[in-house]
Amino acid sequence: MRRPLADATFAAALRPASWIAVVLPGLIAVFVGVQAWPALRATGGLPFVMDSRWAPPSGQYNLLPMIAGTLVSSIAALILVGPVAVAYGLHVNLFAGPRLAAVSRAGVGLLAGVPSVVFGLVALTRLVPLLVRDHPPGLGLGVTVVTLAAMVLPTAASAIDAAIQQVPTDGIRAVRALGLGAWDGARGVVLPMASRGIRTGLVLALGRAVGETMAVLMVAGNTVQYPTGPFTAFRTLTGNVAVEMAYAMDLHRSALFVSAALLFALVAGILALEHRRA
Amino acid sequence: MTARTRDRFAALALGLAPALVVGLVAAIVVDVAWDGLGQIDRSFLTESPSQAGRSGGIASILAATGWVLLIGVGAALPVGLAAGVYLAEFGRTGLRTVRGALDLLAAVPSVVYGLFGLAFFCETLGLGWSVLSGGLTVAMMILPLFVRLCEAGLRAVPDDYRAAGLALGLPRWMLLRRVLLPQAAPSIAAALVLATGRVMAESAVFLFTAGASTRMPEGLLDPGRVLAVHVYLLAVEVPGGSARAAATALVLLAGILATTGAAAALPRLFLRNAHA
Repeated sequence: MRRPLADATFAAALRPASWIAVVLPGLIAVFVGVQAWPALRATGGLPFVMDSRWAPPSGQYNLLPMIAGTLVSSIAALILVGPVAVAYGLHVNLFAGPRLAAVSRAGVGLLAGVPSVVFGLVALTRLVPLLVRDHPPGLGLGVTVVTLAAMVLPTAASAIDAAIQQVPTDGIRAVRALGLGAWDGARGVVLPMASRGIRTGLVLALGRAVGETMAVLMVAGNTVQYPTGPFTAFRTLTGNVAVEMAYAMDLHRSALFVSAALLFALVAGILALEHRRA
Repeated sequence: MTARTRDRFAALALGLAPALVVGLVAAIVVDVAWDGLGQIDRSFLTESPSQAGRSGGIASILAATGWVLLIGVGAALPVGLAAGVYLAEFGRTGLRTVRGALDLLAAVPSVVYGLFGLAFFCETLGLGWSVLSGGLTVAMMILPLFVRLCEAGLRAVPDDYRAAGLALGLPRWMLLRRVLLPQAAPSIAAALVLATGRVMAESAVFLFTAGASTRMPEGLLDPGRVLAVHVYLLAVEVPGGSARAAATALVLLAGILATTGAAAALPRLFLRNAHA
């Protein structure tokens, strides 16, 4: 008779699979870091924020305009998305009937599945032509922020929906027992109790906006300059990699890996901050 | 103003948000269909692109997408399922570390995955620009989603089942194979289907790891251009390519809508069969 596989052996056989998950982020950091190293060593690192401009073939590596582009566009998108996502979460949980709530949630699920390039395509063929007459070429910060907002809306909305679902129902019932309405309950009980979850949802959305590549690449215009107004073309850190990777060589290529390393650090930093507070 | 009238106003005002979401989805689908539907016929699906995609179809693009899907989901499935089982059934120590690592993997931007895949799979492992490099890189991207959904599916199985199995003297692996996995099968299937949708939607990763060649990929080490990359290149780099871009985007959207719908329907389908 075959001896049954012992429980401990079985657990030991599965454990390495969970180690893989732990090893992978390190592997990414090492390989991106190794490729970024030559540019950091050759320049000493400071030129990435001190040089007068970004022109890698002539040894100029200032990434500040791209860092500003990433931060400004992501935060602006988040400001647009925040109120909408909170309103959505309150509506599906406290105001909508079960059928309406199911339709809304299906809408968020579908929007979450729409590929980045499709957002970019629709923005490029519908939004940009509206602007092109008065503000040629129509590409730039404004269109990018609107596109980004639409893309990260499902992330924020479903996280905030989940946070509001977690609020214990007796809090809401107590408000109702006092003769107050759903809106009073939403404002006085649900929002304060869900505030931590709502913040987590917004942070997740910020992380997505920072990392978004293709849609932004299609509508930002990708000129290396500070995003100073809604119609200025600008470039993000992700766009910087996508635009130049195809032809970059040697130190130039290494400098693009510095862009990627910066993105990785930015996203990891946002996540760590959130984990520590939670 | 009474609480009731306030509630009515609030319901209307807050209702604008879900209306915006549903309207946005409808607008995107209608818009892409409007531009793209006229371009799609039989030859669009059976011929490979010519003249940078201005004519011909998307046969080789579909093939490349199929390759990276098979490789990506195929590589993520065993690792993700094993990790999900470990976390749900055995994990006590190090649970926080594994969760944190999965959160980080989920948050890493796709362009960073792209550069990592280029440096690791294409160059260091010597796989070159290929559907294999692209598939393995994207497997890493979908791993966190897949692990989390598998774990949640297993955790949703009531503890009574475990207690009953262990009381009968079943070893854990037998309990898992005969009781827990069949119970969690609908959620695991839904996880697979959702991961499929994720792979189809991805583009930046493949731009750096699988390349942009429109030739039909014949094997694992051949480069290939996936649907999403084709949409991007047609829209941005091919003058007059936007109608073809919309047609390709429509095919892509149809695939993703099908996976989203299937993921939602799967658990219910299983349930019906279980009771029949």
